[in-house]
Amino acid sequence: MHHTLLGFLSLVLATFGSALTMRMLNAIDEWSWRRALQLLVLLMPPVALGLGLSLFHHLFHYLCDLFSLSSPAWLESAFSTWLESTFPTWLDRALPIALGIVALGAVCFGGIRLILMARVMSRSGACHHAALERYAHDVAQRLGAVQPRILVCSYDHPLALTYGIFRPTIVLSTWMIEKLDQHELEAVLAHELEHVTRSDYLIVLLATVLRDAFFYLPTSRKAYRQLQQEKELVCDDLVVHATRRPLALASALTKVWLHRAETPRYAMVGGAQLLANGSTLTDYRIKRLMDAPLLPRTQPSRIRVLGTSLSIVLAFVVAQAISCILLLAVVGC
Amino acid sequence: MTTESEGLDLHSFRTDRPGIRKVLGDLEAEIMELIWEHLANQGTMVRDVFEILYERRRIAYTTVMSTMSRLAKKGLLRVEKKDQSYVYYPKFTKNEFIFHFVGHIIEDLFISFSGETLADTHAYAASETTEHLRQLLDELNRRRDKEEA
Repeated sequence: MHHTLLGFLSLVLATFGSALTMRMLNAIDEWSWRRALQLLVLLMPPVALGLGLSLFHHLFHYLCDLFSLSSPAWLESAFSTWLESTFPTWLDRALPIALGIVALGAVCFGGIRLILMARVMSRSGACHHAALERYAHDVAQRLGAVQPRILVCSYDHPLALTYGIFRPTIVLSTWMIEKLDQHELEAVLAHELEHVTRSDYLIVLLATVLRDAFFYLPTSRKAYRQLQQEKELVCDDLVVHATRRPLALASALTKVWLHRAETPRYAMVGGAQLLANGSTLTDYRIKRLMDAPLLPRTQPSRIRVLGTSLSIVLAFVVAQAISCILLLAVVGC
Repeated sequence: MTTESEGLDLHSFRTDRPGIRKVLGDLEAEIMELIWEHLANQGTMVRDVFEILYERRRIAYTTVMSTMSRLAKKGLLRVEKKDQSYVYYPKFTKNEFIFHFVGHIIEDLFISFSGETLADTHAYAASETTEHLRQLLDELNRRRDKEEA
């Protein structure tokens, strides 16, 4: 029962730490800093479980043996009695197994999603587009990004997405090529290239697995939602700086949204979500782009981001160690 | 149609009447408008309302008194006893009251006729959105043309 209890305590601590970090986010404007903290929130539950169950538990047991420490016998027996009378014994095995299955399922689901995506794309007859590749090459060079593969798939609805692990691939549908004018198409492509530059395709993959593995924690769901929405806003900002044409991207988004509004069946399956996910966010993005002043691009201080993240991690590790010591003091070394 | 929310207890809805008279009687509506317009900030006694209304039309003091106590029962007014008299306070501003009764009538409609009403509402909302988006696209095109020029 000790392991189950320690695991439960670790998750409670992770939720508490995540909630505090999410509150901190309210006072932070810099995108990179926010992204680092959102990832930290998503990473907190597995780190807490790992630290609690694998490191501290064994370390403190070893220290107990080394210094022959033990908790008072009356406390140990009182706690054991309370534990046995309160929780059924099957919970000791069922809870870790259930959590393990969910976590494993999330990892498998992430892998399956990636494999499916690659298979669908390879079978969809997606092909290269010379003009787009030339433009993408120029923009990628200017941004210092990896040169991604550009594929165009035959699909009569809006589609623009980036996927992959080792070599990112940008997929655009024929609808985008046919319905968007040159500047709009360049803005959309620049938007996807910014996702490549920021390695969003990898971060989203990791975040999705972490969200699915701990879907029962509200903080994980909230951090994931914020991460997903904010990456679009950051890339919009970066496109404005790269192309100096915010209205072209706003126009492309409006066309995608209009298509979704006019094609309810398509909207219901969520096909346009990749470029314009959720009408509220799309509306907000369009308004932002229409009012976008061309501000100089600012880079957040890496030291500040690193310092804050390390402080949170350190505080979290200390809290986890204290909770582990307290638990061992009660249940006995 | 019955509307009961936030302490409001309204039992009739008349489509042929204007404004708040859809859910209140003439005298009830007149008294509430008087209270919202002139006497919202301080407590109101029956006599204050009676004196203003009496100038407009000959009306009995007891009629005003019973109407105001009915409004209190319906949850539109709060009543407090001060010294030997009753002081009435509005529980909602006019906008809050309208917001509540309109919101709950719509909610009631959805509960009664969810299938067709919701489908129609969604269709209406979709056409509204499409129209809005077309206008937005036109504006964006105008601004882009100006920018390119």
